[in-house]
Amino acid sequence: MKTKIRELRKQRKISQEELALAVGTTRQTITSIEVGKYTASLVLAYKISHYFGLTIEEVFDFSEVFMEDGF
Amino acid sequence: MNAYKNKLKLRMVFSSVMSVVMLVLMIMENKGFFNASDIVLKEDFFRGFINGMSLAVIFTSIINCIRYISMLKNKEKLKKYYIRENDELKNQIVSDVGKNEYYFLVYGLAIGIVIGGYINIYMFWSFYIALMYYVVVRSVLAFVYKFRYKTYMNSDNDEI
Repeated sequence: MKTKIRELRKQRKISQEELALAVGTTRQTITSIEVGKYTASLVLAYKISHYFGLTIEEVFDFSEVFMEDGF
Repeated sequence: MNAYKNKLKLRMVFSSVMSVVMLVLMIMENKGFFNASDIVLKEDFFRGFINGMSLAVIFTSIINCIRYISMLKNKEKLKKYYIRENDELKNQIVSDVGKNEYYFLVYGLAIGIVIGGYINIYMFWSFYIALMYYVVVRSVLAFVYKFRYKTYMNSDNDEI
């Protein structure tokens, strides 16, 4: 799944470690989400979006999920 | 975080009990308590192996207890370990491993039982007991988790 986490981090000059600590996860998880290797859970997606003051849809791109699953 | 603290305390109690049990067994074994009845323990290799394993369990339990105590005393450390232990990517990896492990273990042990049956009776029983143990443990855990998520209670009720 594509996300805007990396751009948002760069804009606000936040490191992966800082974001990870703020949302209660590890830097490795943030890296995997950023590169699209792992899809964050709803709770983590909410925490990340909340951290940036945005909605989940503004941070995470769900268009591919609908195409992949077919429903 | 309080739930995690209680979890750590419970782990400490479990580790301590395990250490004491292993220590008592080791002392009993070295005093010759099991020698009269068990042929296996008369052989040095098995005796060394059992003693080594007991020592490893005791040592690991003590190290874990020290680690848990230091975590409980330091809030930052506790948070760091909590995050590391509850990281969802790590849990996802463990879950994926569990799904594949099931097929590898069940089919591997089942093949082992068949091959062992042709070669050696001890091999046969070793594979058989390992498979039974795995199936029982997995079934009990599956039941516990299904019960926890209540899928047993209302799986057939499609409420509108």
